[in-house]
Amino acid sequence: MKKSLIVFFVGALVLAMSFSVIASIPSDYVVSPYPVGTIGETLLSAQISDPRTFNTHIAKETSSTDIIYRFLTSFTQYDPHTAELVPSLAKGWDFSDDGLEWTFYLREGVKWSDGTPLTAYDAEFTFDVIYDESVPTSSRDILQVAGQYLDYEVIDEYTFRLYLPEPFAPLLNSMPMIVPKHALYDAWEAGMYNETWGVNTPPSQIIGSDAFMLGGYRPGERVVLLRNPNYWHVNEEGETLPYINRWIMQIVESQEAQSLAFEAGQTHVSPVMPADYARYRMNERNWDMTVYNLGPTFSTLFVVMNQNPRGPHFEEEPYKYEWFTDLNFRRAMAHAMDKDTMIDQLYDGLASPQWTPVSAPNDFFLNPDVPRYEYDLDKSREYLEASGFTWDAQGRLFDADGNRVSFIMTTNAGNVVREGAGNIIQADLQELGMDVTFTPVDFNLLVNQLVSEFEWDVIIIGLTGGLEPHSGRNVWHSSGNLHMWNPVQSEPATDWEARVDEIFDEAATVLDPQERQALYYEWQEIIAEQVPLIYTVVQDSIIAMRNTVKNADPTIVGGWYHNIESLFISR
Amino acid sequence: MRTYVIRRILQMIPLLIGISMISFFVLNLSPGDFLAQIEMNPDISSAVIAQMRAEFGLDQPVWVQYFNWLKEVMQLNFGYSFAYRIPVTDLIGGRILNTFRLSLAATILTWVVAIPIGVHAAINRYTVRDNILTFFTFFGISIPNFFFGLIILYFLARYGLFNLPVGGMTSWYHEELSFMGRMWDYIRHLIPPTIVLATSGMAGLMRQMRGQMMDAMGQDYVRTARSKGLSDRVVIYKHALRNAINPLITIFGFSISALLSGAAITEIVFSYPGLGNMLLTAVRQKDLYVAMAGLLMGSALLILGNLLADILLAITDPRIRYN
Repeated sequence: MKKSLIVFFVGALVLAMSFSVIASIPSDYVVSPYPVGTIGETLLSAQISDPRTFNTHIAKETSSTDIIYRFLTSFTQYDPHTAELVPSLAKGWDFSDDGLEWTFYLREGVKWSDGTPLTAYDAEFTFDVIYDESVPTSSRDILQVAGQYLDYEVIDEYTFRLYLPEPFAPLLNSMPMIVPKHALYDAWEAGMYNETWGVNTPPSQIIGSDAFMLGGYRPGERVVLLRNPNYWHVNEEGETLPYINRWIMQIVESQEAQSLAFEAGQTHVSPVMPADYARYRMNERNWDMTVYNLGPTFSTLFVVMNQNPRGPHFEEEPYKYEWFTDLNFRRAMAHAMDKDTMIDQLYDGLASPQWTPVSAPNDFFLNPDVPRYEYDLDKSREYLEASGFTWDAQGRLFDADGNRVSFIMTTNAGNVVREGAGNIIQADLQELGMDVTFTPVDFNLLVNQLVSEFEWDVIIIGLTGGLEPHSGRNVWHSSGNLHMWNPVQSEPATDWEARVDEIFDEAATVLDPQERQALYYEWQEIIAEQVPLIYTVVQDSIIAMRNTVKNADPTIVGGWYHNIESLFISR
Repeated sequence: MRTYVIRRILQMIPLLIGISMISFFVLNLSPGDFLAQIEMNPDISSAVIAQMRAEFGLDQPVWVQYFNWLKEVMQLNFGYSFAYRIPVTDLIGGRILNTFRLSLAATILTWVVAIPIGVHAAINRYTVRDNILTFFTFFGISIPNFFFGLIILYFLARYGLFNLPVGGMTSWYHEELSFMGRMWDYIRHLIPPTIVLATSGMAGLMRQMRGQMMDAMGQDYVRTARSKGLSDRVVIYKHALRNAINPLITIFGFSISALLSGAAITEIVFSYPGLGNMLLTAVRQKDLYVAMAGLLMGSALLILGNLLADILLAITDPRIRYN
């Protein structure tokens, strides 16, 4: 009797204590689904180059955003496993039936790293800055619907509403990083916004809302992130996350040196180059680490032919323009892509073929049934014959008018993978009797040709894709400046380009995911049939993590750091 | 002598303006500007790019850009970096010291090793020892810095030689160390890149020294000194060496200009936060004002180094007089 009474009291006490802990935590805080860990320790990683700025609206390169996105958050984020858009700073949202009014409900009790509450006024300020035309931010283009800026309104401290001129499906995808009004308003008022939060700003003035905050920066050496004591994620026991006290990103400017630093035990995590993969796998036990092959990345590598009638060299060589606009010629080229050799030689087998503009990890929008052009030089010859191309006794290819098929193929010099792909493609095209000169040129020169000079024949280049097809509008809409084969057209030159324009305009306004999927499926079919871009191969993303880092759960969408708040280091 | 030095320094001004003009126009001759890098980004519209171009003044004719820049430089304002949006002086300041430290260590090591070896090889010419020393210095000059650097890094990572770090300038726990600990931390990180840099310069210098020394040893005054009965030591160090070292002083002057720019590749391999590395990126990205500041600094050092060499020559060789 006595014993059970003590057990009862102790039980009640424990229960009461745990309640008191939980009671002090705002109910909108996120509870980590990962096992409970211990607070402390330093996480070491490497990144390839210096941040240029800590100002999210000025940042134009991943070396800056890789750090900024570790201390700022947005209303929404991608689920690292399913790639769906899920709540982040906003605990939820709803929209009116006509899709013109979107209301976001912010989590209550969320604080900036300096302890100031994060409210809808911060969201309002963020939109003020984005729509300020003196700030050179790409968010302003993304947050324009039907050519107009959105109206926005603070309903109350934790409710923020957007008014759209017409429905806009990629809206949730386009939500910007929310910036702190209390830290930036004065600079913005003074017209100094573009110069604030530069790399020379004292770290203590840079305020964040994510698991970490900026602790220090030594140019060319390292960025130090410190645990945000006011973070709004907790573990099951009610402890504020993250577990890791300090995250040090060392700047190591070559992949070889990054790899060696990992090998020497100077980092906890490292990307693995395909050439190193086998050696890493062999040493998994020796180095007490695990190698994760996350599958194909979002990057692309493709061949594009100049179909722009404004190309100045087409005046002297009009037949080149005829070839590149000839569908049979493009399909013949597509059948000449030896993807297996590319995968083996460029990526040591750690890559896969790509057939559509949608990146492989984007399951929802990826159309698996588009026409494919397998490597088959006989098929290429059939297509060429169908358009009246002929071969002479030496196997040299001539078009129907007797012009030798001869052109220049280029890419940006210094990119080993693209140069390698160029050599493989050149060999196959020569096998077909084409006279291909492959000359890589400086990146700036290449870009100049693509966007303003138009004096090129064939280019091998790549773009980084994402989860939202609409973000490729600049490439696919015939008015886009990255519509590489014939950019910035006033009227679409072909019927299929007109249809692609329609699809992109329509899919942006349709809110039903299934309808959007059907539209983007059609777009991928058109592109696969018309082959304006010939997709080649996409490499796998491989990373290695030390086994001392617990709760590791890397995914292709979220990377290894999507659950950084739940990672902890065991000694 | 003093008027000569003042005249030389005054001559620097038109020379530097000429150099800056040529560099500025040559940098602008190659196609594309700083913004070409982001034109391939599908997220950034041409409107934002045009806005940035106007903000940076890149939409104006090159000569207008040049004179605006020159006017600012005359007031010692080196402009803003396009990439970082901070003053060029802020960007370069810290890195000058880093590179200077590395280059100075390498230069000292090069000279301290190469000169005695050169003298030694000249005195013992065509012996086995001479051949071995020659072989090793040639090994240093023929192996590219980046490759030698990677080999050293590989051995450091694989076998943890002497517990030296794999690249960087300081350890991540640098701030927590005591003062002496911090100094040792700097030195530890300097050792591998210094070895790589120094070996590449050693061979040339050692061959120069050996050649000059051999010439000097064959001169009449050496024979005279020997026949006077002077000891070998006095003959070699007092008579031959002092005459043989003249051309090396000129080389020394030139090596001053390389102090801030000669280490770029080694810096990249060892992730060393130096100036060369940053200037290389600036030239490639066409971050115009950063690149210009670097070029001007390199030119000024070259001119000053030459002047210094000329003055040193006048001091060591009484036959040289400037009037």
